[in-house]
Amino acid sequence: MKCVHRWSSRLLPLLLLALCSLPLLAGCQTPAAAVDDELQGRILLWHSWDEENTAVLASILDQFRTIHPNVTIISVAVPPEELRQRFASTAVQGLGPDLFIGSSDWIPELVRAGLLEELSVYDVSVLDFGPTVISDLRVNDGLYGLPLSLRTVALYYNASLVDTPAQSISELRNQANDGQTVALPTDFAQAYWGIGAYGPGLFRDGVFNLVESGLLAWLTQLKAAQEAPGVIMDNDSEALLRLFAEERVAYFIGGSDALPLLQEAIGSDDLGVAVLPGGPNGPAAPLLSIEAVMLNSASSADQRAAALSLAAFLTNAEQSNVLLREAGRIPANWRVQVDSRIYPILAPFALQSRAGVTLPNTLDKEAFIMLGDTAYSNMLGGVLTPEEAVCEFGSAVVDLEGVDVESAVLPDTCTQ
Amino acid sequence: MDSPTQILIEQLQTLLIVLERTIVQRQLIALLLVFLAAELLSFGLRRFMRTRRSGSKPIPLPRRISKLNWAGLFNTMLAPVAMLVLGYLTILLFSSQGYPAQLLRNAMGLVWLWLGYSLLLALLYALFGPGVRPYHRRLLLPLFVGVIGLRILDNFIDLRVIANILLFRLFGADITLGTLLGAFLAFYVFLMLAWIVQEALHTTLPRRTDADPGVIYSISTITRYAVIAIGILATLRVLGVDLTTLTVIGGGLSIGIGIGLQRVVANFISGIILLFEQSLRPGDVIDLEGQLGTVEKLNIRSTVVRTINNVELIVPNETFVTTQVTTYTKSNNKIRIMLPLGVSYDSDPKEVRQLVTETAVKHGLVLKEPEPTLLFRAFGDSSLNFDLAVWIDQPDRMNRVRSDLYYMIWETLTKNEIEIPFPQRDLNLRRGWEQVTAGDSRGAPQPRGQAQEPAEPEAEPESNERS
Repeated sequence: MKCVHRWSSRLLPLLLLALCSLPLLAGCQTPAAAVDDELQGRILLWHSWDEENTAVLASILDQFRTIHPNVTIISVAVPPEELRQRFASTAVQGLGPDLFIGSSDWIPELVRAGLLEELSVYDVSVLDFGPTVISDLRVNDGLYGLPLSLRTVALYYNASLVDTPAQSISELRNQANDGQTVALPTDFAQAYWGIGAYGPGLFRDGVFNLVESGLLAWLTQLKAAQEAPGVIMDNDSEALLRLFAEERVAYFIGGSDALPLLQEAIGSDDLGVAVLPGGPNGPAAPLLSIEAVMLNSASSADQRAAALSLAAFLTNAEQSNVLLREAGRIPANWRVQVDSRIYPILAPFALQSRAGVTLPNTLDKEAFIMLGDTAYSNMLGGVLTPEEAVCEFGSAVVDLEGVDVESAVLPDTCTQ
Repeated sequence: MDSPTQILIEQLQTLLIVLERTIVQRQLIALLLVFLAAELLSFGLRRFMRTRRSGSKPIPLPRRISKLNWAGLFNTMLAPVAMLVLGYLTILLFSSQGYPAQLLRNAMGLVWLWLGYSLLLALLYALFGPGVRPYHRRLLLPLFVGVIGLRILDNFIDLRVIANILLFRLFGADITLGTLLGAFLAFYVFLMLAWIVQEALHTTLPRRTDADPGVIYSISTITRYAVIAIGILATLRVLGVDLTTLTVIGGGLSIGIGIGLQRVVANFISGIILLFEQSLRPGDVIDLEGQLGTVEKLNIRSTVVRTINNVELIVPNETFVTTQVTTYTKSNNKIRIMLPLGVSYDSDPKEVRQLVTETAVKHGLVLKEPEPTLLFRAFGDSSLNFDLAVWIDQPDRMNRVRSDLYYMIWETLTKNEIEIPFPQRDLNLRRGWEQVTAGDSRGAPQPRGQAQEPAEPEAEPESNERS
């Protein structure tokens, strides 16, 4: 016991002393280069990019270091499935990265926990980004991230099977009736795009409204498409992707993240991408997934300044162009022109992202999508008619926390 | 791929980055203050209690704990409890000021661990006494320090990155810092397991069986080496070494081993033979090249023999297999020691026998059965020669008993006026005695330069012995 006491008495204070004296050491930095630059300090960047994209990121960081030689950047790749949780668990202690690249969907939760730095208070310009994208990065009018890249779905087609890709849903259905095969994922997030093609979206100015939305018409179309001979519907998009990769179907609706696999399986010559087919109301409006750069609220003033500068640098038009060119990331920056002659595969995704929509940040997005999944599968499974599915979905959404209930309106066909 | 140095520098930079933050600095300084305050508080309280206790001399902590008195428990847990109380108060203060305090909350988790550890030790000492100390020092303390250290480090740096640092390749396997640490841990666990098993066998077998201590020692030692052998295999598995490759390489190396390490291997094999054959066991009293000693420990390569001079001899096992070794305790511990002695021709041999045997019996280490015997060996030139034969069952104290007996016998014989004769030499001078006596005056120093004439031998010594 004496030994324990001795150990604990010596070891713990030593550890604590070491930890407490390290901040003094932290103040000692390598002599600053003779460059007139206000930015200085060390910052930590977390991302979850693969090795290839990390190399692109490293080259961008090198450019930043050239401009700001007094800033040391440590870049760490964290597994994608761990990034959110690790940031939340470390930032709450004051630890973790100064900035990180992650999904904008995490913003509401992290803002509620007080872990993200509000960028609105700084001189940050968002003029280069679309309003839909920026609205997804706001919580209560505060801006909590800068958009880096976008992810959405588009229409993949096999050029060896399809001469001209369908421009509209009716054209796609006709081609299916004529013998073409279409792989259509029916999970709510992937099949959200048709709602906008058949009417207004589910939210207008952040208010949930089913009365005039295109949901009922879209569900009716999906039900009808289910009967079409060439349409293969499944909520397992991975299974449909495999069918397309094996060249057993001519069309597939999927995200840009499937590109590398499909380019390898089908070949760049035969792989074609087009914007999603439109409907009577206009172009399709898929859900947008936004990759944003967010800042840790625990950072010191120097770190924050450097991190903010780096976030602005990463999201500027020049670096977005680099990311498009070398990493195939769809730019969120509108100043970047994605020319279809140079980027025939990526340009449709960029174009499609302009028509993309986001869900309000006040909403529990995961719960909302789960309700949508249930409505779609019940309707396609024959349990509910499209009208019943809309009503059931609407009623369930009204009960969700964060939805503006007062303004939420269900169609007249729904019995209360 | 980044070099290990680069990775370590990056991790250090990461540590410095988080330590630059005010939020972190505030919490760490608060934590240090809480710790110091808790230590001061517990120190003060301990002193206060000590001065109040009658008899100001402090009782050693293990003894206090072994009695499981409340004061002991209180003392043991005072510092962690004080730190918990002060720590949670600080957290409340931080929360009221709107300061983040999660780091402090996490630190409290470690303090709870410290408290649990202290409580566990107190209970273990209370239940099993000071015998817990080896387990405490070898097992619990490293475990506690390791867990605490890793948890602290894990908060500030990415241990997984450090664990993935590639150090070298071994038999086709990438040895990273993590695998090396894992292998070390695995080996340590097996080493501890081997030790615990051996201790358990040592403790339980004598209670449950009437087996010979040597057999128990052999069983426990062989078991220990078996567990260590499994541990080595497990360690190699953790390192990712392909055992098939190792077998092939081992085959090739065996030639080298055969040549270069043949003595080591011979000793190793001899160790196994000794353990199985039971020809030598710890506690055996042996005569090794004229040195009397007790076998202390049979290791796999060598044997430790402690001589009566308290010198430890580390004897290669091969010695015991290839040379003649005298053991006094192979089948039983009884040995007979013979003490030659002689008495005057004037003595009564029967009286001498009675006196000497009665004296021998009085020695505590001399066995009553077989009883001491005085054997009449011979009519010597100047004495009646006897051999006192006594039996003892502590062969390692043979020399001591012999010495004691001689002392006792001399005393007894003196008291009873029995002479112990010794050879005497008479010098008879046939002529020249006068010259010898007169020579005293001539024996004065001569002046320098006057050489003295060598004296003619005038007397021839004639000697004869007389009693």
